[in-house]
Amino acid sequence: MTWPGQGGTLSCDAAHEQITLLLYGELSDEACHRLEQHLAGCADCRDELEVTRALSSAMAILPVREPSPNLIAQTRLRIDEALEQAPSDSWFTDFRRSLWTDFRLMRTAPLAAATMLFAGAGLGFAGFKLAHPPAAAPAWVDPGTQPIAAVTGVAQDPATGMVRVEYSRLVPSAAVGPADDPIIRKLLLAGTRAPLNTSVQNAALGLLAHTCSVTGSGTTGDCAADDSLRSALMVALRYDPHPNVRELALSGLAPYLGEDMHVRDAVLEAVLNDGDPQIRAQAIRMLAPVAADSSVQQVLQNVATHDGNPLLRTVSRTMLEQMPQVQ
Amino acid sequence: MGSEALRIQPGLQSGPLGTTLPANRTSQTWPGRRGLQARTGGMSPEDRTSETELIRQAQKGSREAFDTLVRQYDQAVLRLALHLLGSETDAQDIAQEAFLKAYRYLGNFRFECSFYTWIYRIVTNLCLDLMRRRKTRREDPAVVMDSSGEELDLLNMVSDERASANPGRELERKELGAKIATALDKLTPRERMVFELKHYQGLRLRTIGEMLHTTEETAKNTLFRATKKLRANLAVVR
Repeated sequence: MTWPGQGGTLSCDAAHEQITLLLYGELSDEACHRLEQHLAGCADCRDELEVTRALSSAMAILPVREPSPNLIAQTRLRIDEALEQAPSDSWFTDFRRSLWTDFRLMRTAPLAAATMLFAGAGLGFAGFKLAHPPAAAPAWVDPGTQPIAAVTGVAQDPATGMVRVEYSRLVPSAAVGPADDPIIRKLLLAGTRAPLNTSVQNAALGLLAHTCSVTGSGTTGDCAADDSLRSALMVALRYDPHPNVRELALSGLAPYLGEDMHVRDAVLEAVLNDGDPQIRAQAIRMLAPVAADSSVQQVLQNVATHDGNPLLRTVSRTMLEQMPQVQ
Repeated sequence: MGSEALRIQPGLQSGPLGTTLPANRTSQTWPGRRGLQARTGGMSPEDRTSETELIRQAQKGSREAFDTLVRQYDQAVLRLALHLLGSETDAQDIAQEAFLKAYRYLGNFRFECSFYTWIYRIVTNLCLDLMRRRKTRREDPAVVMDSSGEELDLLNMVSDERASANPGRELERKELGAKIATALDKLTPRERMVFELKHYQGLRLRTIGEMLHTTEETAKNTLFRATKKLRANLAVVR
């Protein structure tokens, strides 16, 4: 049955549950009050209370007895023996347990641990920066044999000429050093293969080209020996949409013109096809040292006679006229 | 029945049944608080600090500190296992295995609960495993052995100081004790455990839920199911 109790209804099923809780001391004062109100007008639930109490009393017929002193003593002896046979604690076990305890303490304060970690890293970085001013050798660690995931930024300080190449491995890193530093150049070269970041690619190519063109053929050791750099410059000269980058790539290829026919072909292509007349004119002038090459002469002759740009026709013609002197 | 008439002291075990509600519902557990909580629940702050220090020392490898912890809890562990399993041998086995486990995994104790909850959790898990194995093997819990391997009569555990003065009543109580033991055996191991921890050991439902890795509500529902089954199996009591 359901009892419409005062101040709210309490079903008999709910009352039966609450009677159990009441007898076990788990009923709140408010619920107890409602139950009392219900019991006052419900004979069935009063009977339920009696039966539940009878059950509890009956269950007491199997009382909880204290274990005998003899049983306790025997058990302690067994536990002691078992603990003795347990693996004994060596210094290593102690050390490991101590480490584990410390680790758990640290886990209970992850925020503090993280703060300490970052604070330590920050202080360390600040100290490192103070101890290593950027004008000196590259302030970074050699990337070594680990692959570079991505070059994310390239910039040069106009005041100092220092090149900053931002690149990623497992974590973003930055290297600072002169543009002709082999490691910086390696990073710049990686930057030329950054297909997802055109600005990085262009900046890296431009800096590489500028470095090689500035150092000139007399100090071509590093540039000339670097096939990757040469290939990157030729790709930039042929395909880069930015005239300034192509111009720098052209300058960077100058040291290779004399010995590398592929470079010479790339420059000749620039003479014929580049969209920027200034670059074409520069390429024509660059060919002076190799003007004796028949392929060069043919291209110059073609431009001198058929090109629509009078400036380029003039420059080519001048180059051809100077050929005997060159030779 | 008026509410005033409901108020008498609960917990009578052999006298006439009361017809009133417990007067002090929050501080007592009915029918009696016999369990570990009776000793540790009222632990003073100094004792608690001392126990915390003992645990920390034991975690650092102090065998002496761990032995002290064993001495503090072994009696309560035995009391629970003995009443739950009805066998001194099984109770000893459970206590030994529980403290070995505690020794081995004390490093995992993170003070997220009280130590007695933690050690009780180990004990209840071991007891549940044993009860489940018994259920599978259909062992008769009424046939129990003492620590020397002798068979004990469960009915001898029935408590009545007046029994010797009234042989007829003693027989009646023994028969009732046998029926109760059978009814308890028909509970699932989990229902039996919740009923044991609540009714006989006097723990709070919240603590029971914590020990059994469940909620207070689930422990409450399990207790309801257990009492309903017991009533159905002990209909003669009515």
